[in-house]
Amino acid sequence: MNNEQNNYHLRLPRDEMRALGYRVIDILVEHFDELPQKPVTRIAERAEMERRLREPLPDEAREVMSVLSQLQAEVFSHIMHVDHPRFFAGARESLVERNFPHLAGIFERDQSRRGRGQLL
Amino acid sequence: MPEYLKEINRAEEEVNFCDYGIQLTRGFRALKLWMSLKVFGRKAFAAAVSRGFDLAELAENILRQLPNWNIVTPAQMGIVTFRYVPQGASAAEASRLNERLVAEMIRDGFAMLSSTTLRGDSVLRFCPINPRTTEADLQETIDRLDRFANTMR
Repeated sequence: MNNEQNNYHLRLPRDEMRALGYRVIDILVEHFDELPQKPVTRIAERAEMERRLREPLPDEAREVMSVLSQLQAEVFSHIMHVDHPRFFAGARESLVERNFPHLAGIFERDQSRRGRGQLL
Repeated sequence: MPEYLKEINRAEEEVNFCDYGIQLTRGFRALKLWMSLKVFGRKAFAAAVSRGFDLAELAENILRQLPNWNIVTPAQMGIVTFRYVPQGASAAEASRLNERLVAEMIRDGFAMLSSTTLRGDSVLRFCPINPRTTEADLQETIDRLDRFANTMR
């Protein structure tokens, strides 16, 4: 991310978008591949999570991959995996939401969102 | 009619569901269904639903063979409810035990179940509708439940 100027267009450079997209797809494939070997959830003490919840609002830009790393290390590591094969606590996620193609679909949708006059 | 609603009232050629909600916007939720049905086909979804129902029946059958485990409502549409009631335990004691079992399973992390209350008693719920749940997943989860229950009593 370019720190020198105020990025008021809220836009990432093409190369960065591409790199981010490739990394995200790797994370998704790894997620579906490795999920059965992971715990369904990991509980943490409130005090342990508090530090992460109370971080200050960032004024400055940060490199997108480092934000992604933080997301993985501090959020995804403690998430309750409702798409886990041993999550037996109910139908919070439908079959449709547990599969891969819809994620690809959402990604495409976000790339070409028209807002109104959508297909469905 | 407020000005900002006149514009959406004019359109006759398109049906935009986002115009029918209070927020005048809406997530593209139907895309998930459309894309998934196109990619996997109806048959795969039908089989996945049936498999979830079968797994709930399998869980019921495994539990029926274990001592101290009672089926409260038999497997139907992918859900079976059950309860650990050790000999001599009152209904209230059994309820507390089953609630502690849920907490113990979460702490363990291997599998996640929820509880609910049926006719005043706390019961456990098995809802094995993830199409990637294996029979071994079910068996190991029930083994753990049984082990934890037996050490708690």
